[in-house]
Amino acid sequence: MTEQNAVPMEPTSEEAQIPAKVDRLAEIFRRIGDSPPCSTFQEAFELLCRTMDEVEDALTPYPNEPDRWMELPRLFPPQMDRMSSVPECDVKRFDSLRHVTYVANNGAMEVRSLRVVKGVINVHFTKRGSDGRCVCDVCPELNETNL
Amino acid sequence: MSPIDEIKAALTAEFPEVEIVVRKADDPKGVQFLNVFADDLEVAVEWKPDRSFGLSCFRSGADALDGAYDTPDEWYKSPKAVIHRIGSLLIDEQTTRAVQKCIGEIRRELGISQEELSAALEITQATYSKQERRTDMKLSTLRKAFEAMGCVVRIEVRLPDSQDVRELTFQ
Repeated sequence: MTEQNAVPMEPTSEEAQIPAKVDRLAEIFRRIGDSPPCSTFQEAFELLCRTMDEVEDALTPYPNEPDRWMELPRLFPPQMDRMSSVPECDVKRFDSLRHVTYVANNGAMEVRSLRVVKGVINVHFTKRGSDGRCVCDVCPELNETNL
Repeated sequence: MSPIDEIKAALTAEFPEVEIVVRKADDPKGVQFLNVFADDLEVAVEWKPDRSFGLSCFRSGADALDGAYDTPDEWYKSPKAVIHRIGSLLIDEQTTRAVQKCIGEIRRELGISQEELSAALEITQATYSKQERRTDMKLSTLRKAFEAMGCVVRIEVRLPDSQDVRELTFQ
């Protein structure tokens, strides 16, 4: 095929080697899981953001330019403009398209699917805080559903 | 009432059987989210005051991590356009997927390798690999790739107000 396509971003030959997003997410979760437990919301949030940036820097050629989040196929950490408070709990949530990331004030975190089918909560990643408590220990209502 | 609330109200009236959830960031200028959970589909809309409406639609039960920390597949400027798009997705039971994702997914589903497809297209595998990863491409390139896989490509144009559908051909 000889035609020239209109291409806003030319892929490089190394793009063929870029792991799929799901594999990069698995690596992000692995590294966070291997990290020492956090003791505050801020520590946990910074660990999440730092680890995502490190993995994307290591496994993709896409620049860390959050202002270009709409065009770059890079995974960007959740931003504060996505944060909401879980009612009557010391837990914050960060929404993305079909997932929610909970970060508790004891440093625990958990990533779930938004949709709860027949009471079954789909947890993709969970990490306890330094006090040994998970997100659901901080906010027992999260055992029942996503708040 | 925010535009997200408007969308929820319109969808609730039109599709009373689906579950619709709205969530808003603590920051009044932050992102507002709307999720529609139908039988087999999950529609996600996100919006903030200085931005267009981002929209994605996933097949429930498909890769559960697909979409995590990801950007929406489509963008719309008005709530009306979002309502129409969601309506068509629910009625047609279709998902929104970026073109380059679709090509790769369908090729793999059909058990066709990049080598086989590039040979059919009479281009090198490296050139085809680049094409499959592009975020934009000519319609003719898209059509050739799909037709080489034995697929038929149709393009539908939905009119904004009437929702009339016009089908485009490549002739």
